[in-house]
Amino acid sequence: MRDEPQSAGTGAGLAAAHDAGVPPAADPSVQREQAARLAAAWQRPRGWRRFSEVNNSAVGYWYLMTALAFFLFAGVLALLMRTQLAVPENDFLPAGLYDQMFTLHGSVMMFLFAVPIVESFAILMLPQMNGTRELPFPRLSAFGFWCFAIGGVFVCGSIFFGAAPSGGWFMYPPLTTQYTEGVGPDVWLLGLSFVEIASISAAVELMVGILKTRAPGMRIDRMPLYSWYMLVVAGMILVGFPPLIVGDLLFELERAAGWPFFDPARGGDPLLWQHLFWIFGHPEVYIIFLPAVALVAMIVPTFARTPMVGYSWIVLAAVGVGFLSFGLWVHHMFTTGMPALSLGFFSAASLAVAVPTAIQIFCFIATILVGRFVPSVPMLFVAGALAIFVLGGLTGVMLAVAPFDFQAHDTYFVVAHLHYVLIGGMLFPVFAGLHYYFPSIAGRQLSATLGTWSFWLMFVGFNVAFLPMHVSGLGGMARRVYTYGADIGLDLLNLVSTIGAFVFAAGVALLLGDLLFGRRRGALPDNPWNAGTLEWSGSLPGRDWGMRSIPRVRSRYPLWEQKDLARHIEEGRYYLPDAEEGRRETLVTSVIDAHPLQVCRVPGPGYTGLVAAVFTSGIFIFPVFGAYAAAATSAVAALLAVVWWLWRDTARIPEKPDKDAGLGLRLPLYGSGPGSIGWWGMLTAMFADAVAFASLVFVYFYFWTVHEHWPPQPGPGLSWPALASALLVGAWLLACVSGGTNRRGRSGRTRGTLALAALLCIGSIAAWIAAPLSHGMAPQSHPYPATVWVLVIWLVGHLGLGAAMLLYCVARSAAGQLTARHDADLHNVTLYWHFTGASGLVAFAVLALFPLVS
Amino acid sequence: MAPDLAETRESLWRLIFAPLVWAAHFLLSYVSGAIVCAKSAGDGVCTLRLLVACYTLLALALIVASARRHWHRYRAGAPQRAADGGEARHRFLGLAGLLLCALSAVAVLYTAAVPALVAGCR
Repeated sequence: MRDEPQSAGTGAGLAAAHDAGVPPAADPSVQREQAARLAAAWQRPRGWRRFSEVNNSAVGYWYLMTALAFFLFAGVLALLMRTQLAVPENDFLPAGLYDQMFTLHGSVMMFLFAVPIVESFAILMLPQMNGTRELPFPRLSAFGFWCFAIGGVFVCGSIFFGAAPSGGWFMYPPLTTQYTEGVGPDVWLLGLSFVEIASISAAVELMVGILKTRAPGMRIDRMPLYSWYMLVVAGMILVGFPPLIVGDLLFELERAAGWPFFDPARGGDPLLWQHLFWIFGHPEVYIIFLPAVALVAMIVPTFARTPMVGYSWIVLAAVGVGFLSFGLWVHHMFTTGMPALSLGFFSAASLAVAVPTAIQIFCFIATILVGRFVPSVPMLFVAGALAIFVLGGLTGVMLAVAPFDFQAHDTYFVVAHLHYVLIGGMLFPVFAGLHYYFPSIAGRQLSATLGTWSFWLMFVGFNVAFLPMHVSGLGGMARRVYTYGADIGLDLLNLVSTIGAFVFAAGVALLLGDLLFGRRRGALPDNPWNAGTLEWSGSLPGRDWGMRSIPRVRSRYPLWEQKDLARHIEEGRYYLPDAEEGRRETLVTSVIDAHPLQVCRVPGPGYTGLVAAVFTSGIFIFPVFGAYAAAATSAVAALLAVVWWLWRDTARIPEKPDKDAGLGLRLPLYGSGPGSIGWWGMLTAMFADAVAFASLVFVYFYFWTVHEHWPPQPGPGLSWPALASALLVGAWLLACVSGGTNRRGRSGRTRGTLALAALLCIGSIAAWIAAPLSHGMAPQSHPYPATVWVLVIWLVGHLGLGAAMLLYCVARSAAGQLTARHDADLHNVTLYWHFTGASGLVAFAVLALFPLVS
Repeated sequence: MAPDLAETRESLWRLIFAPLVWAAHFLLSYVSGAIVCAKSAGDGVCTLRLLVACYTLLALALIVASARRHWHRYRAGAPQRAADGGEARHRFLGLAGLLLCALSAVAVLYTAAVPALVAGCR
């Protein structure tokens, strides 16, 4: 067994000494001056400049409100659909509009409400829960938010022009390739791909934030359970979303350029899309379920007045669900005629996932039994959530049995099941979280009376609406059909469902009305719920600095177990109580034991994220209308905006090498390689990128299993791919070598090496393109040439980006921003090249070597 | 600084080793099943049963080996032996890893049961 060694320069003995006692407070006048400087550094811009804010509390609040707006929009669509279905053979909505509505309802609820709202809670609360000031990449948060907002408005707005997608939220071909007119599917594919980028950027942010920026002493076994859940969720987003982005790319290539990936007439396979969609789509359910349960895991101990029972068991459940949820995707495809054996594997995993899911629910119940239970509105929502979710979970186990699913597929039984799971597993916990965290977000408590009323309206309305759907589904009520016959005996059940839906909506209206228009009643105490976790340590409403000083944590529930901790934090007794240089600063800590490693300066207000998001939106929105020139211009502008952003905000050389972080601890201000958070951000982003590349390779081998002869025609040959790979490896090696050259202080030679690497990279691009081109591979003719071309395009894009990065380092070195001691940029670019070089070798094996052996 | 980070990353990787084994076992079983059903016209179920049995033995051996290491870490962090609070971290990681081993073993057995129970590709 090995201990984690103490980190260099952290003063372990000093830390141990501080563990024992409380550091002394500074003189009150000094405290006031420190607080004033700190407040000035974290001051929000006013007026129209407020849109330049990047702080997590501002961006998180915008995220929350925007997601709620999309929720209302999709909810109104649901009410319109229920009105249509209230009586048989109704003509309230035409069939085409109804199709657009159910497609948008599902897509908006999943992509624009569920995922963003759980991310918004994380962006808002996670830094304070972990006892720190800010997420590591504030401008990335802002970029993600603007992508989400622009993409969301674009997708939702399409219905007002009758141009919304209408093929169901999963867009199955050939319905959406051959039988749908207009730009609806393009709006879905491009608009939501854009939103997925926002989700991935949030996942990178959260993962690095949880691993690398926690309060000192918050070891991995002291993290709030919320952080554990979000760590798992961030990992799931990084694995789950890239396959869908790849699927979107293939789908758009088929729609716009006629590449036949999903067209059986030309050798494609529509089932491939279903695989790519559900490899994303099923984990997606858990991606929104786990963060909502995470809120429950914070709320239950507070109102049971006792630490969570079975902390390790909850971690087991979170990690276990995170893994098992990737073995379920085919249970959405039970009726596609796949071999019974294949169905069996997924059926088994679908049953197995019930085990860890149940474990966490037993832990919650045990905690309530062990503690002294205090009734409250958040707990009411939690109780309702557990009741509803357990019912949905049980019908889920029924549907995991393939023969039952054959009967219930595409009926209202499935509609009932999925709403029980999502509303019980996600919506009720989120409303519990809204009630619980609203004092911290807005500085007032929501009304308990209105909250109780809204809960019962929602709970009763929900069950009245969705319980009958089990029966109507088994009675033959089909999903996604705009009406039903009067002769099948489902009139009463449907009418009851419609009434229930409106009762539910009344409950939602009551809650959101209080949220938007409620007044503050009486004084609000700090920590109004007597919670034990750090997000409640400050005064209310929360200050933009997050933490007045960054504490040393010694337990899982520091406010309960470390006497007077909240007061000591507010007195600035701990780390970074001041902002002498007027900069926003937070601590970087080690992964397992949270030893302080570095004082990290995070960027303040700026428009770079907003500008980059606006130009990025052009890349996705213009192609919907066939305006490819405009899209290309937008892409160039987006690239320039990102370069401007990186140049101004990242890896800046500080005016001094280190500073006093408080408590006698001196920490460096600059880090590079694994010592910098930028490197960790690059690592997580490239992990998602590698998953996307693996999905493309999966596509290639998927076709191998469905075609008797694959490759069916001569491929790109050996010579061009071999030359391209040799050049690529050359560029990769030069990039690696340049790091050592630069560290030895030979900056001229470093620039030469990097420029040569970029040159080789451009040569490799040309050779890769020449490979399929010289063999006359026509991508419209068959999926084989199309798949080869997609792999080549993917690689060429990455090589282009790699060349741009090498040249960026040349420019940084020339400008004196990249020196022998300050080489973070070069480390990150080398890391990028490790991934790109490895994908190049895999592509060579797949494209050039596999045809030789098959 | 570098040895510290290598050490810490290894610890978290170790925690998810057993679920990774499950994932590999699941994917191998599914892919083998898909290839056997697609390429051998449905008469390869015996081959598949043998293959999955081998995967299962290998996966369980790896999981048991991982469970042993976690058990030792868990025991080493027991309160009576721990010199300072830092050991609690080992106890926690040991227990969580042990529980994940148990869950992964159950899930592996679920997967292994499929070719044993399902008669063929159709």
